[in-house]
Amino acid sequence: MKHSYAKRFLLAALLIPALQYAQVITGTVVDETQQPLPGAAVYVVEQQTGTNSDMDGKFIIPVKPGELTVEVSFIGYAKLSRKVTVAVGQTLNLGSLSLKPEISKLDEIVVVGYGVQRKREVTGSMVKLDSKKINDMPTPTFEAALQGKAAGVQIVTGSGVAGSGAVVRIRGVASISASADPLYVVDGIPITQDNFLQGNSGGFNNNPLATINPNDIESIEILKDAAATSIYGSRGANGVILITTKRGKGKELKFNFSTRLGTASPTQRPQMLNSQEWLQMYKEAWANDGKVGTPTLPAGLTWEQAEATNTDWVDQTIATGFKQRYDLSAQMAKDKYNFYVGGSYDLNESYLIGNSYERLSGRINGDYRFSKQFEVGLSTSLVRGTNNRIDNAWSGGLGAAMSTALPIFPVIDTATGDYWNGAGSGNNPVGVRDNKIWRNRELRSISNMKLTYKPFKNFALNASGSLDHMTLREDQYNSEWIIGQPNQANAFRNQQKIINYNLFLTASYIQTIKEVHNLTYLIGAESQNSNTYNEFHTDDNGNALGNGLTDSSVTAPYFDSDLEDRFPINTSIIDPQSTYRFVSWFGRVNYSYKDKYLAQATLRADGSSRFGRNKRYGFFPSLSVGWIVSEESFFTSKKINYLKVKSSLGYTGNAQIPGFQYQGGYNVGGASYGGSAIRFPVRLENPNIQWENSRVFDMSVEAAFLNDRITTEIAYYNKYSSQVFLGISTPRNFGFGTYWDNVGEILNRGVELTVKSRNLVGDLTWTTEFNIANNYNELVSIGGYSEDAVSGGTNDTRTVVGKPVGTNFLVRFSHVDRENGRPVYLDKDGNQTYEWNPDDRVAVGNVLPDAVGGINNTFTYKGFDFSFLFAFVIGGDIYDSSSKRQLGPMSIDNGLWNLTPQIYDRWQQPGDDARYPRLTTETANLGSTTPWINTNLWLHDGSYLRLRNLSFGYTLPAEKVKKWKMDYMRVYVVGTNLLTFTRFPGLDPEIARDFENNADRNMSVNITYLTPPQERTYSIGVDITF
Amino acid sequence: MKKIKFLLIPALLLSAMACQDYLELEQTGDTISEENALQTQQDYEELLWSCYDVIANTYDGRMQILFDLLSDDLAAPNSNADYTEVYNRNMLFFNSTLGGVYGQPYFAIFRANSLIEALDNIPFTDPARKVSMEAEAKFIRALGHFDLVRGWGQPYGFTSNNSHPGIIYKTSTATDILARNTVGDVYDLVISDLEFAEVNLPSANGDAATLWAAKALLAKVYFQKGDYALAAQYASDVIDNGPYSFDLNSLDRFTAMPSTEAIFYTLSIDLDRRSGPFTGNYRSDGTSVPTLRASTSMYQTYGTDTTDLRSNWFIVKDAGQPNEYFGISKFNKDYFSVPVLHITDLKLMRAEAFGELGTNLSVAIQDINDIRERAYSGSSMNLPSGSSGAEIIDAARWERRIEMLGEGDRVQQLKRLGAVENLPITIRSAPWDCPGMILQFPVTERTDAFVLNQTGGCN
Repeated sequence: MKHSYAKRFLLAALLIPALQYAQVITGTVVDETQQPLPGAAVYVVEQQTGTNSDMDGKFIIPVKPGELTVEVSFIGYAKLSRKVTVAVGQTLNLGSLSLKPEISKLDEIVVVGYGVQRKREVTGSMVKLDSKKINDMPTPTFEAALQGKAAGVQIVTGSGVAGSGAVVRIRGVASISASADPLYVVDGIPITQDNFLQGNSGGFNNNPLATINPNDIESIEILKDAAATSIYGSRGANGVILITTKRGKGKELKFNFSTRLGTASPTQRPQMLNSQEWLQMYKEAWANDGKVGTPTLPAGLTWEQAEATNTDWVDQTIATGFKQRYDLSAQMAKDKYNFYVGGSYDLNESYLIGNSYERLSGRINGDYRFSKQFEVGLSTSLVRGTNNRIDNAWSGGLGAAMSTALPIFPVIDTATGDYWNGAGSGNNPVGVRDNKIWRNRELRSISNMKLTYKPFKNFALNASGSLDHMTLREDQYNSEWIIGQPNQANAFRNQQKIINYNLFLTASYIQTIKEVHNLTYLIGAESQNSNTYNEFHTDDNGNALGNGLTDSSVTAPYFDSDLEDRFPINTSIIDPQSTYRFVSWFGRVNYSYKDKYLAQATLRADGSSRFGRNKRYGFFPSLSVGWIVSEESFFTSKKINYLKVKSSLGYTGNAQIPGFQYQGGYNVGGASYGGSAIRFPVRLENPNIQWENSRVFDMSVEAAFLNDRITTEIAYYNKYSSQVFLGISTPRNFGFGTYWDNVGEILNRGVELTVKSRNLVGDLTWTTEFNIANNYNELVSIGGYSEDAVSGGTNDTRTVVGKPVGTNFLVRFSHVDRENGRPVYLDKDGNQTYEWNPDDRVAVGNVLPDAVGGINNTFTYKGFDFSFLFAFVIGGDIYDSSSKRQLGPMSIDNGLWNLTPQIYDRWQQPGDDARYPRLTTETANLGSTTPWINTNLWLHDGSYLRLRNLSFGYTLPAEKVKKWKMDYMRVYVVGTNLLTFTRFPGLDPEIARDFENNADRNMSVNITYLTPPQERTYSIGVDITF
Repeated sequence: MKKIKFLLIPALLLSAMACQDYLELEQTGDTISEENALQTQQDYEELLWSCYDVIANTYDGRMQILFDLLSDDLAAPNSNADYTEVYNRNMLFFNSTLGGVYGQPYFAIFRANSLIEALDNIPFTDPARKVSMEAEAKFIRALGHFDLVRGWGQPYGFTSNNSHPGIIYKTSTATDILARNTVGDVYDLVISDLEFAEVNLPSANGDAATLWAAKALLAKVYFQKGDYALAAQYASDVIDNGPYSFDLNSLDRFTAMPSTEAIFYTLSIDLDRRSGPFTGNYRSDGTSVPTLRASTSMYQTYGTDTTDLRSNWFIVKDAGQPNEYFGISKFNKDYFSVPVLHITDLKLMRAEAFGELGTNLSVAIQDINDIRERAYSGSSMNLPSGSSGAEIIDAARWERRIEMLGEGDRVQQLKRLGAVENLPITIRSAPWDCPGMILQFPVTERTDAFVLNQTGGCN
């Protein structure tokens, strides 16, 4: 029966189609942005006939009259189904049929290291985020927009400072002193990503990712397990983030214009005492200590003067910031070539007065096909990022407003009419802001050229060369008001140039054996070379102006004075410790049997200049297997339409350390003693220093239910990192300072769950995306060194064996003594004591969360769309390092701070049950002569739930915008960080402060020290295609 | 399968880059590789000289001040939290001043050990230099460890077999995690290094260590051990046979050019002013209150007898006021060479040692009287000939305290008297051997094998 039907159908379809059908259905298949989709399959269910859309997305299909169902499908898009009634002889035009990107992306193409794969064939663990997910909200830089959207990827957005970088951790932290950031690869080149090129200045780390225009990004692939990352070998241990920029699409030349305008304000406004309140507290402290008379005030102020002043320094340092962004691009794809050209301007003011990040960027991407064999592709961008800097945190600005800029200090000195400078310029953040010009400017170009040669079928040779060229220039001008000397203004410039290039060659071959065995081979070789130059202006004598120029001739920064011409840059010193080279070979074999059984083997061999001959080369293999159970004939579940099990085991590495640690170093800089030259070791050689090595096991199950209505993935991983670098603050008896050695061992293991559910389909759609990832982190060994062997400068966390990396190692606070108001601590054994002794420190918390995740809901109805994303963090502690001073002793010798209103919960008289101890002017009354002591009184639960993003948009009907000669138009409003639920009593529970070095960055997220809170933004925007 | 050949193309192309040279980068600038830095004998001489540079940064007052803060010579420090902790004998292992000074000798020791390990590879143009270079390195090693063990361990004699923990005696550059050597072991190693130095150093060696320096240090080591016979023997050898002269005319050994009394000294010039910690903390001729001042008892004992020229080392400021203090004038100058080992010290040591031994008392009396005639500009206060050993000892101890003011000596003598002489010594009302009387290590010293000292414990 079936057979004969088919026969008849074949006859009908092949022999007499045109005669039989006097009726046709026509239409145009377009994507969600109204771009035509060529090659989409159009199928009439009842008569089992179909066609493909042409280059313009148009189709015409002859049909019989009657009630019919037309289905339109295209890889990567949801199938569209339309019931139609066709009258005899009718030409039914369905107009434009817009396909929506499919939630189940099993057949989508994903970018992997040195190639692409079909998602269903991937045996590694990875997440793909498309352009929309990266651009759906304003964030300081693109990586912050990933928060809550990918399981196992923890994003801690930097503070509210414009252009600040986020801390990105993929499956926990596996490094201590070396960078634990993932490897960022843009269009094939591992880019320059060092956050410490300019150290920590002004409470800010330069963020090299800020120069990447988010709107240039087509997709981001986050590679998590060894199967995915070991092709990046020695640099894959912390995960890899592959960034692919946009390429031309669509047969017609199309323009896209989008803009977004918005505001920034802090998620929480810092509350500080006013002048009256502060003076009252100070008087109480004075009286508590049995002192008589009028308390001594700083800066020689009298009590009356102090009472007469009431400056709200927070008001003086924050205001609503404005944001604006404009993107214009053009794109087109023909048979022979395609191109994408884009220009963008983004001015992102933070709520900190005087602070903004401005990015001007241009991009040209294109491919040209000379013949069927030979293709060339070019991607190039040029970006100018300008960070208008202000002091923050410990350095001043809002940080000063929250600390040493007391409300009793005036802004203006009424005697002179100039800014008041009575307590040092640092305590007048308004004066500093107006007397300092501070600008960081980055010029960056990331470019790639790729040649593809396909001499015969299934074989391709690729040659790719990339250049990441970055000039980073910090300019600062301090007026004589800041210097405090007449005719002595200062201008200095700190400039680095990083030239980073790589070249790789790959050969790939696809082999099919007996139609069931599919093999893909890839082998390749790569080299990379990155040089960092420190550039100096030199004076008339040829000496480098390292500390800038301080004299009466300085009237402005270099960039707008004649200093640039007077003192040209003519000293460019290569920084040997930042210079590195890699030479690598790699290979990958993918095997699939009947699209059911999958296997992949990869191997990378890396050679690095950072290691000595003994340990120069490292080998990083991985093996992974997958089984698509749902393809088996025995698998008959109706509810589960897709089931895949996969597992991988492999090795990855980390080589992010300064150069020449293997070689040691001798200072021969001409130092002398008693007039004779000396030379001396500054660093001991360690010829055996080598890669950090992570053994990563991963197992996961992907499943789709109810015809892809629900898709899930659950993964377990276990990553054991050994030979972990410690930049040890060596025991002094070693006789030299920091020393790098491979002595740590760290375990990360966890479970990740991702669920996507299309709750409602049809006119009203409702989609929920949920992910949660738990991570257990344990420092297994630090080779016998003490908790204090690795200290990240300002961090207050330590390395404690058996505890997570970044453990709060503190003396325990017990309670406030009811009788005398003194703080009572616990010693090591738990006995109560008034004495604070650092020997009593114990592990009381850790900064790493137990779980992170997000839940996003999207609703669409006709042209309307509405979505909101909650991001959450469960567990982990926040150490509020500033509160030990904002709620601590009021000692004029050690510097007086303003207090927060939490001080009202303090001990005042015998019998008081108070949270905070008595006010005092003597630090000894709090149990130590050390003025500021760390205890777990300042440690808080870091869990939070945050309405990260809420947006509401409307896509105008296609017919309507057509009249305006447009294809597509969407208007929207979006708000970020609108609500936060937390028990943290401080400002904002999402904290990535300024860091001193990588160890600090690894160990001290969630430590706040006057860190400006995150920003809350409200924006409106429009996207237009024409 | 011919197609597979194509797979080799990229491998071959890039193999060209794979030569070691591509990955072999050179350090440039001020810091270069050890291989490039140490090639000629002169390079090694500069490495050795850098040890003296470190010593100059150790005995620039910083080491001496730490010792004196534990004694009864000084008043509570003014506005210096780290020093106050030491003075209060309640030192936290985060005390960065303390940790910094502790680390200094080890810098010199590490370099000395680097040199010793390299000896066989040094292309000596003067082969005789090999052994003297080794001897200098060993002197440097001994000097550093000796003051470390005296500061950070309980004194020799604290336990009967000296098995109490001292410091790590480093004899190699290896980065092994080590436990503390016992005090007894440290003294043995110090003596062994100095005995090598004593026989292999030249008698004249510019501003570097000589055999006299090794002998003088041996005298000090034996004196601290209570081995008075050897202490006197070595002291006499230096005093009688060495090229140094007791300066009868000047009490001031802290002079721009090294004093004639100085057996081993550090250099300081106007340009580098290495004596900064002395002057920075003690100088009492400015308007601000110095950090370090004499204790009331010190002033009352030595500052009020105006016939003693040394009473001029005290300046009473704000007399009669609640904020009265006793400044020390000894270091009121811009810069000076610091005598680390000197004749006055040896003479007082010899006198006390002979007094203890009951031998050569006339020599001992002469030593005391040399000191006294200089201090009182005449013989008015001289010990009579025929004074007993006990009288000599008393006189030597009295003179030693004032002569060595500010040189970090006082507390070591008190500890010797407590530990070796079994006298019931208390220092500012605390027993000489209470736990806080030894300096605390920096926290980075703590490893699985290294136990820090107790914090506090003197009240």
